[in-house]
Amino acid sequence: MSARAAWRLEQLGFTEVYDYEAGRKDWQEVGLPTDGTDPRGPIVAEALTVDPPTCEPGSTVGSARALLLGDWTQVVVVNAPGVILGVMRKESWDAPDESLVEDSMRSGPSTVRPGSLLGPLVERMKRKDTESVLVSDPEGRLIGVLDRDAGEAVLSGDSIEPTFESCDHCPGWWRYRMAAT
Amino acid sequence: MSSDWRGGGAPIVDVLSPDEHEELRIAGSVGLWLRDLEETSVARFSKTDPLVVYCHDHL
Repeated sequence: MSARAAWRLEQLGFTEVYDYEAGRKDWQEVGLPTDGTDPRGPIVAEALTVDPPTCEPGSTVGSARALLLGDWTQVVVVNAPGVILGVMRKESWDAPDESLVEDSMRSGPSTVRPGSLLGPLVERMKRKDTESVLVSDPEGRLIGVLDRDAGEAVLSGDSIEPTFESCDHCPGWWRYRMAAT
Repeated sequence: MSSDWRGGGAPIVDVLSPDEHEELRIAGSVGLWLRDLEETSVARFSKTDPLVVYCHDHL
């Protein structure tokens, strides 16, 4: 439908028409902001924390450990494009400082999309006693971390500070999206 | 027609039906149903500036 619309607009004299082929579904799945009467409820994007500490698989455990500032208890292992390869958490930290992250990281951690519904996800996290889950885009690139506590806070109606600032022309995650593609 | 749309700041036009647009839309998008695309309805947009259109998905 959007392809036909783009052609129609060109017929009408528009010279620079862009067809967002992946459409609204893609927008939702990556957690970009929407409006409307859709009663889906809160999504992961409303509760996640961005910019978790990251390291590369060839880093030493000691250098990764040094990234654990503030409340962070895990370091996400990513490659150069930001694709999630593993995570350093819990027993991974038992490894000696001089060893390599790739030898002790937990490989292939589960991820969720920022556009996923928050309620059912938090319920699953409770059942499995999972404290946090990584959030990625459809290509597996790291976006952030969802802590169960933050998810429960949003579901209970507590407001949290906005994760993304707006750009001049578009709301919220647009800027991230532009950087990621 | 272009397939790349990294032209941040362009108006985003939702060409889904009015009901679908009301139910769920990209924040900040303008609803303009495909069947209503004509000279008068698009007069609000500059014909020489970038314009992004979308529907559900690529299917």
